[in-house]
Amino acid sequence: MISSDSLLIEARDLVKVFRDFWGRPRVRAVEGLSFVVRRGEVFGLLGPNGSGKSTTIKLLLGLLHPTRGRLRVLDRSPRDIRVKARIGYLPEESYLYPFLTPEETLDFYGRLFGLRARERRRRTNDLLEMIGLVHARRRPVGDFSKGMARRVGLAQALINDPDLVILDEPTSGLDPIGCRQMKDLLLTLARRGKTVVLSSHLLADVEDVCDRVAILYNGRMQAEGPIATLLEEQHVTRLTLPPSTPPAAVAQILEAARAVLGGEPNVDHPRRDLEAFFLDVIAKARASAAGASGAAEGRAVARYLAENDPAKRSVEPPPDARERLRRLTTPSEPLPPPA
Amino acid sequence: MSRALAIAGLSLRQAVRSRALAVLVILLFLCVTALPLTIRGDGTLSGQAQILLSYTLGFATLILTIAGVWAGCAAVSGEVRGRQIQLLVVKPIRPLEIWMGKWIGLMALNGLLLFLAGALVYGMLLWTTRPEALDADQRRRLREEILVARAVARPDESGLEEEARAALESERAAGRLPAEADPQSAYQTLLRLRRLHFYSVPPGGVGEWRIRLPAPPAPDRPIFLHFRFSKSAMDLEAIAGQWYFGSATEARLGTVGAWPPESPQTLPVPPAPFLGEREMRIAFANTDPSGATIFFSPDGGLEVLMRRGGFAANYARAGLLLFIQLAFLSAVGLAAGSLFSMPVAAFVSLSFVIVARAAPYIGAMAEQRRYFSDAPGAGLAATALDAALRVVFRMLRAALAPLRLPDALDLLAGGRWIPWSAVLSAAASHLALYGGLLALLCAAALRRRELGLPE
Repeated sequence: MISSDSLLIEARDLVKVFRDFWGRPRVRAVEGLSFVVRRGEVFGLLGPNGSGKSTTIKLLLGLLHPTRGRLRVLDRSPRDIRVKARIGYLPEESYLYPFLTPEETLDFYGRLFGLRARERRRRTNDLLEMIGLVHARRRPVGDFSKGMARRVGLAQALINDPDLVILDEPTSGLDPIGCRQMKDLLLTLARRGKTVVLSSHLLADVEDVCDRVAILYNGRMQAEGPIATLLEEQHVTRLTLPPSTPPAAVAQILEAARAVLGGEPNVDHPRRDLEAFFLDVIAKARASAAGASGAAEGRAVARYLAENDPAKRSVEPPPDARERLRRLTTPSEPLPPPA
Repeated sequence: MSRALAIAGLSLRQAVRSRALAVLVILLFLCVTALPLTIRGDGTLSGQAQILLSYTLGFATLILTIAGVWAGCAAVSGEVRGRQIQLLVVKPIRPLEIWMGKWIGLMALNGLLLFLAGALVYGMLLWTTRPEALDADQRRRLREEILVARAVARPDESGLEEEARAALESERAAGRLPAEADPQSAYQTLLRLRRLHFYSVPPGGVGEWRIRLPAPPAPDRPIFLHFRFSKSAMDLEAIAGQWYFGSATEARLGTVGAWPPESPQTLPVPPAPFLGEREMRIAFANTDPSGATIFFSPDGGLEVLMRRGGFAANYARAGLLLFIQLAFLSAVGLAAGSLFSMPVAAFVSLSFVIVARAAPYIGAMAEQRRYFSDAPGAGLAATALDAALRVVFRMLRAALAPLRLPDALDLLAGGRWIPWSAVLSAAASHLALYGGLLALLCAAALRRRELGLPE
């Protein structure tokens, strides 16, 4: 039984119908959608284009109003100003003012959250450092590449140190390094007790960071649950041997398996994913070229976001992220041989 | 409030960094410096000063009006189109704060540009009327008639209403008032006739009026008679007559002469007969040889003007009135932009500006009873069309009446006093009341509007 105060989002039988100018139903974007998001969870909305992910996110933010159904965010209506004060939102496109610099952008949104000037300056500096745009802090956002603008968009979503972070296609427009940093940031936020809702059609994004996912198609919920449960294949068992296992021992184990199973077991070698390989190559390349025209390498998380970590009081990335970050920041380490 | 100010600051920053503002400033500069060279005045320096005040500042205000309305339309509709508003409304800011912030930003921008244009015109005015460029008479005329703020006094009409009421009773008692006649309409007609009679002078007759002055005359407060008349004859020959000016008890001969009809005339009034008195008598003897009746226009055809204050303060008050007008019109643009897309908003708000500027014409049309049915052979359809048009014109007149502001430029160019009460009343009605109503309406609309709709 889930206690109601642990629910940050509660959607029951949500329906959203888009109508034309004359009020005639045009598209049923969301149809009978029900889900909950618990405090501290990273929840993923997964689905192909047009499946209703962005519509659902806009309903959560009060940018669209449900045609039917009940929707509570932080136990209030999503249009309640007290709810908005606790939310950080990164839209699918970075709808930023092109004439503002990143510094001015963060200061402006900080003012809307009622932050004092000193606090705004501190958070702005921290966030600019986190997104690696300190060197471009006085360039208009309109001159930025899509990826750089996206980083500014992320920073504005975190300026209020939100309890609930809502990200629409967070890795859209980011390079693999930016994608990895985004995922690491999400994990860090989750460990600090923040709740994250993200939508994506990139399965790897969701798999890496989400505790639970909902898969949408045609505006309807197709599947929902913890990633581990959804992906687990109960009828298949994989045995992984440590690299130091002598070949003779491997042969013995295989022989025993053949004898027990009465057939040939499937044998293969584990592979690193392309992302891990790419990050290694870039880390190496960065060691020989110090300058970068776009976003520089930033910190994993802004200082002020790390300050109140209930677990550690200082942010420690999760073990796999920590390892990746270590390799990125120590490029002189030799790359492991390709698998 | 701090959130609204953040939005206002954003609007200003956007304007300052756009090329449109630079173009607007250049356009204003060209308008102020080049326009006086292209308009031929009456050849006098005072005429040139009036051109600067009336045409140049008027044209600069027109440019600012169009720019302000346009910017107002784009302020919200542009953000809806560019979707920046999606990032704005998910922050803890109320729609009213967004709207007010945008309006404050527009007002600040309008104020800055108007100040710039006003300062340029004022500078040119000082340069054009520099003492070494004028002879003594020109300097005196400028000082007493144009670069001055004069209070206006009109003849005391207080007895006319009583007369009209008495005439209405008399007509009713005599059974000359049809049963179906509207008493209020009949009263208004009788009052209008009384006023026409009050301001007319028959051939060989004398018209006499009492005027309460805003302050006792003094040697440093010269008085001027401003009049405009016409005659019953069809010719345009100058009208001969004699003006008498005097105290409440004694009238003295002032000026004998002939003045062209249908054009404004100004006569200096000798202050000696009524120094220290608040009431003066003026009389006009119609000695025109044509034997025509003389009619002074009941609406400002006979006025006495008297120095009340300095020009600079009056200029500042005129600037404030223009600013209030610009701020109100930019609120109209902003409201249209909050409700409609940019092209529709621009069409709606510019139509409003044009209709509002045509208010005097609409008022005159609303007074008319026939538009088409006067034509030979006009049938029932023309009569019905007349009735419908009259309703439309009356509704428009009623809607526009509260929006009318004193014509600051006309008053300024005529050297007429703009009272602080007019500025405060305009601010209360156009900024606080109508601006507030528009703000509430648009905030409600923004609250209801789904800003995340797909295109």
